[in-house]
Amino acid sequence: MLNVVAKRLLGEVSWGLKLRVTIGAGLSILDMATDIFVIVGYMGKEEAKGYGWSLLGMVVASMVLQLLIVFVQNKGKPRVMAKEMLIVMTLMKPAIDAGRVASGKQMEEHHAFDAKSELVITKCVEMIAESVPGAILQLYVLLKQRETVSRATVGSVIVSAMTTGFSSASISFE
Amino acid sequence: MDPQKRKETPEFYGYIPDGGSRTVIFGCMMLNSALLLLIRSLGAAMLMLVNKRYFAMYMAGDMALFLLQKVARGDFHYWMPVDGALGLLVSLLARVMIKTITDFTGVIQFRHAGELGGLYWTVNLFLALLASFACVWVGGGGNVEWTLVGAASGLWVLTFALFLLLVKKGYRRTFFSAASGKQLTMDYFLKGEGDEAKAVILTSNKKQWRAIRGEVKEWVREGWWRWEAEKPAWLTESWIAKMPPDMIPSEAKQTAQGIRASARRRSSLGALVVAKEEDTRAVQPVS
Repeated sequence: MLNVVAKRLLGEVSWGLKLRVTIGAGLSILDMATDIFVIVGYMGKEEAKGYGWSLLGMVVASMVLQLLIVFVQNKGKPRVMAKEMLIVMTLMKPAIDAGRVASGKQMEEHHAFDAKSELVITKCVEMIAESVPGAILQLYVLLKQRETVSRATVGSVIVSAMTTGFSSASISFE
Repeated sequence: MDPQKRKETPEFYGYIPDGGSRTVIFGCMMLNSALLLLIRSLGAAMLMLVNKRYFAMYMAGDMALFLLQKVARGDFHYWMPVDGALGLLVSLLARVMIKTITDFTGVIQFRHAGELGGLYWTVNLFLALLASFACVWVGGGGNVEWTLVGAASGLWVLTFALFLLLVKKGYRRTFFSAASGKQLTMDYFLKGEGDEAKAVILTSNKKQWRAIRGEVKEWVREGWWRWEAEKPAWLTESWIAKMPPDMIPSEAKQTAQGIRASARRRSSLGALVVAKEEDTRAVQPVS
């Protein structure tokens, strides 16, 4: 109870908290958009198609693992599970998770873990499945095909790094 | 901010001061991770350009060293309360995942004794930065690569120093602590004041506290009937489900077994990670 009250109070008074949640949500959506842009770019070149499939595989793996987390979290409630899965597929999960933690949302009866644990697990899964291998792959392609590097590709790497930085800070910030 | 965690481990949680500096600290943490990911990924990509096997060997060697030191310190088992072969698999996966994430992003939370440990976390990150320079050298990096890795590393050191400057002074030692995960777990019991603080030990992996198992058993046996009468909030179904059966007094075993089976049915995986403070379903009186 004390936990929830403290988090709610913090949510009401802290503009910094709201700013962080907004930036995080914006970065996540921008990251996914730039990833799609880069994948389409790779697919468009015969010599880079393999990298496109690899990056797509990472994005899909990350999403499948996030859906698995939603399944474990809501397995007693199929309707809630369907709604939560829709949130994952519409790329709104990071924003919704951050909002839930910020507002001190309480763990429900059917939940396997609380909102903060769900956020940490989801972000770790995202980092290991997509962010880290994705950054290595994109930089590898950048260095390998440096003659044809576009500003958008460099921008995508920077956005990915900033999004991962946000996730990392969110896990540790308490 | 998690008041429960601050209460359980005040020497680790609570390093961020209240006030306007919170957002600056968050910015430092975010920039720090983003820079590390760029530096490390650039190094990895340079090494892969020379030979992908070099990168695989470097990663495998670094991971093996980490796991070996965990085994040597008797600290391989992860804190999650999972037994048997599955427990070993969970420990291995968790250790590998957390180490990889820390290598590339430097998540500050993972300096926790239950994860990498403060001293290993700090040394690991500085070695990771040095390794990135070595990778650029091996990869025959040109001006662009050297400038990138040099500038980003310089900025990383600056943001990390600013972060250390802004956090509460007393918590800086958590970045150099050599405490192990099992010691921290045992400290919940040995140094915890009152039953609520001591009860945290049963939510951790039994392998981490086998050295003081006898003391824990004695404490459970002594307190069981009193807890049943008082029904404290921490005496939850989830907590009882994690208790080794031989610790429960024989007269209470039948009811406890029912509770354990019910908790297991409700959530087989969730019981592993359910947050203690959130699970407020107090146990019904045992008749």
